[in-house]
Amino acid sequence: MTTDGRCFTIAAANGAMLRGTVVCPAGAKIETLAKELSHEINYHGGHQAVSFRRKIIRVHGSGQFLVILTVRRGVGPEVKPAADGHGAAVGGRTVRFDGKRLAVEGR
Amino acid sequence: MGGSCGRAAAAGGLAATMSSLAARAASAPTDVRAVIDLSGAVWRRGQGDQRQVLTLRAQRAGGTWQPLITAHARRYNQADHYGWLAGAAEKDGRLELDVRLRLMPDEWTGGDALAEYRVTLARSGEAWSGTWRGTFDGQAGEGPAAARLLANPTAEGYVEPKAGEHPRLPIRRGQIATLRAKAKTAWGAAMLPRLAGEDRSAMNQAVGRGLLYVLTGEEARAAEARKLIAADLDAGQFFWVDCMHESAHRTMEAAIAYDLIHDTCDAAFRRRMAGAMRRQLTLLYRGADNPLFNPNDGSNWSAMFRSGMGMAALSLLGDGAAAAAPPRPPEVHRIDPPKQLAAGAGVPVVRMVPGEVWSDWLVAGPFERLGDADGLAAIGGESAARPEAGTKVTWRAAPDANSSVLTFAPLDRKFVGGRRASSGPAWRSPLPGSVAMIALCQRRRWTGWYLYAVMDVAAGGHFRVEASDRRLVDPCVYVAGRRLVDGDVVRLAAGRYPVLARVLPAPVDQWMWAQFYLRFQAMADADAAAWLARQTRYYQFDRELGKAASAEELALAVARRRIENWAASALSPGGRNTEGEAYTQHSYRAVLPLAHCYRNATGHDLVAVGNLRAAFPLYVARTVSGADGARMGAFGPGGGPLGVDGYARGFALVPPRLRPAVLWAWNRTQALADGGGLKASCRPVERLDPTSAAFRFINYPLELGEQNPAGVLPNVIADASRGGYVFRNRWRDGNDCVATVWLDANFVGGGWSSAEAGDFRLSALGADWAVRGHGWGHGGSGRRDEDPRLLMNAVAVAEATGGGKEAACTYFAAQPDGSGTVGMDLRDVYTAPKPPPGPSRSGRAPGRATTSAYGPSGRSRWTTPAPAARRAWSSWPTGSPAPGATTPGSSSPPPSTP
Repeated sequence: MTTDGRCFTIAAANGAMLRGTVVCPAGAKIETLAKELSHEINYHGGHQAVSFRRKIIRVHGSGQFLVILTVRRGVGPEVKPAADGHGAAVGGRTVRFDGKRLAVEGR
Repeated sequence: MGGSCGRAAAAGGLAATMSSLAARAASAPTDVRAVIDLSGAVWRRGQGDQRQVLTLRAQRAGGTWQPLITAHARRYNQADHYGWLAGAAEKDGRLELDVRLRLMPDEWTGGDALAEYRVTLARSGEAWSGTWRGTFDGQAGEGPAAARLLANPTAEGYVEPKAGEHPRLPIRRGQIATLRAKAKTAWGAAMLPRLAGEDRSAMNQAVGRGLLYVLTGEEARAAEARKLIAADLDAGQFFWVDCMHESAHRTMEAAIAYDLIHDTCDAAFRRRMAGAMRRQLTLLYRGADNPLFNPNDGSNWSAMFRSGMGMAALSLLGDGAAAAAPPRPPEVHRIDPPKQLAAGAGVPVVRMVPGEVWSDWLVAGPFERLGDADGLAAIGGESAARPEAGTKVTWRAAPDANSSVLTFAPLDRKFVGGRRASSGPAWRSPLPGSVAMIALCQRRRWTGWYLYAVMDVAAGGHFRVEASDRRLVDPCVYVAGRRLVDGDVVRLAAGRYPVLARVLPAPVDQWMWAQFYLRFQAMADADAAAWLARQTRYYQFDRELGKAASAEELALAVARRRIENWAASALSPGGRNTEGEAYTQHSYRAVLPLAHCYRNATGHDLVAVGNLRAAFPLYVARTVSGADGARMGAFGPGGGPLGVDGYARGFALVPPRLRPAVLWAWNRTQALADGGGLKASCRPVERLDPTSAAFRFINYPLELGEQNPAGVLPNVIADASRGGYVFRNRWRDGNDCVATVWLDANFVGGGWSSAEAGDFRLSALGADWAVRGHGWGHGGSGRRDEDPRLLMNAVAVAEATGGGKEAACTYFAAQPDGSGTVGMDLRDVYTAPKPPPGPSRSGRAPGRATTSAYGPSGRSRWTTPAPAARRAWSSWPTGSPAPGATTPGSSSPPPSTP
């Protein structure tokens, strides 16, 4: 798990990657950490809880948050935040929050 | 108007009442289950201004309204009420029902009463509405009524079982030839060894052996099954001795195994089974007397225990091997002190203080395997025995058993204990002065004990007997030779009485207690008279009801309604569960066999609403299977995907048009399990236990081909009622992408909830990217954190609050390829009573939107649910698609790489 400015990346063992881009708020700070978290996994006549090594991404900021996650193998679409901070271009598409709704449009 | 009530001919006076209104419904021949709400129809004595809704369940089959009805009123109490239809008239869109109802008390708030209602409804479209008028507990009332008539058709080809017909539960007798042919196929031959598999439950093993007997005709298999059943009965496994819910599961397994081998069982075995099953009707209703039992409709406890109760009822239905004892006419027992009673040497003479338990007794035991025998026959019998310290009793459990000599001696004070219950019924916490029976028994099961004392009553009067009856088998006390049980009322004159208690502790778990106590609560003469008058009315009511319905029919109706309530509250119409995969999947192990067997035995679905049927397609929609395993995002305690046991036990309940798609997922799940590859992080059930193997053998459709779900299920599934959304790109392999969003809307309470409103899960390209944090429930590491709300979810915010808060969908859009967006209002979630930690909020109304986009996409078509629609019930997949869901088969070709 790595961070780069307003982006964070998680790589899976099979080569797939999730890349997150914090479009807003501007100036958000990204913090990553790993933590042992446990929870109940099943109940087959008795409670079973297991600990998992989880990766946590904390985005510090205030106001409206817009985070775009792309999951891909190899090179994925570039995420370009819009100048007004309310949307982004993702490859040939746009993701935009108009104050009421989140819309994904384009090809 | 015409109308009718079934089984009227058998109902004597009730029949006359019914037949006066009887005629077949002319206009609505469809079998239905009616859910009828009577507003303001029940109220507490003296609280007529606080009237609550009463919900009736009635059934019309073959155009005939069935006489037996059940009811509940959860804002009144937690009990199950019952009665009959004294008349039913239906014509031209008008329905008139005459209802006689007995309201039962619950253990916390009481609430017993009789009621009569005339309900008049008129149809408008699919809705029925009208009024009720009648009396509740002798007081007149009226109010609005509304009803839903849920289609509940008779299964195609169903033929009612003949009296004594077996098997009739997991299979019908008419299926045997087909199943034997199936056993001769390569698939069937490979399955047979699995039926003979091992399990920690002997009852479970007996199911496999029972089916093997049916398939092969080998008597040795039936003998094995009988031996296994007897072993678990002997070990007390019908009681609470093992795991939280095990007695319910074992009852279910026993009912199935016994049904399969019934024709090989002799009369003694049948009597034993019938007696054991009849006991389970009561014991499982109250959760096997486990103090942790959650009786609420939405709880997995209720689902499992009431399923076991339903299976016991199905086992008894129509067999007549052990008919229920008729109701006992109520009386106030007038008991005088025996003349010339001399307290023998060492006999405690205790002063009876109303409301107080005494702990001075002579005690004799253990009477090994006392059962229902009279252990004191050698000294005059239980009612006449007047032992003293040193009195010896010779006891022999069976003619071929060794005899033992047991001596009455003062009770050692170390067996007297208890603590005062802080609240709730006395049986939930030992009372001070009670006798710790398990310690006295030294945990030897099936040992009976007798306690004896002389009771000195200084001032005569009326008293109510209070004696512990939980985790004890048929306890009773003899006062001057009169047999009394908990709840009886006596009139005692001043004087001295011999009191002998017969106590047989039920087998219990190693850390559970069973106490014995006896006390007498003083009653005013007028209260005793009122009690007798009220009980006499109840007795007459039950006698009348008994003419139309047997005890097992009533128990089955109660169990069915409880499971319907569970399905309607713990499951959404789209099949999404509230309590999480851990508790829901374990509940399915009992619920699904009951639903399967209920349909075989009665021809009808156990649950008329589609919630249970929708659960399987939803698993198919969310589960990603690949060569390296299966994964499924989940909310609430535990995780998925569905185990091999669930598919096997419930496949017959899947709507036929969806079966090819569910079979696709079942085949992959079973193949992974067989290859040791069902290794999801939450460890779903991958072992086919004998009962699951039996259901797999019965249910697996060799003649049906699987079909990729893409041709059957929509890529986007929206469950408006609970706010569950699935966005899936395809069904191909382990690289499939599934995003799920959970709003946790319309939580009805009564079971586990989660603090996950607005959260999401994401699996894609062979990995899980967004998973739960601490999660919710047992074992969550968040309990050790300063603020357990943080890191609980995939998306955690400082303002997130506790469970039961719901997000509301504000807009929704979906594309045929599985892309979509859901927006939500989180103001209920973020405005917790507890001040949120962290920086102050911005002032903007809190909300969230999650979008999932796969491949090429056009402009979204927004759906904004109207406020009223937030609580609407979706009809998918039994009817029209849910709002915003794409229709099956309309998806675009899947993209190669999202």
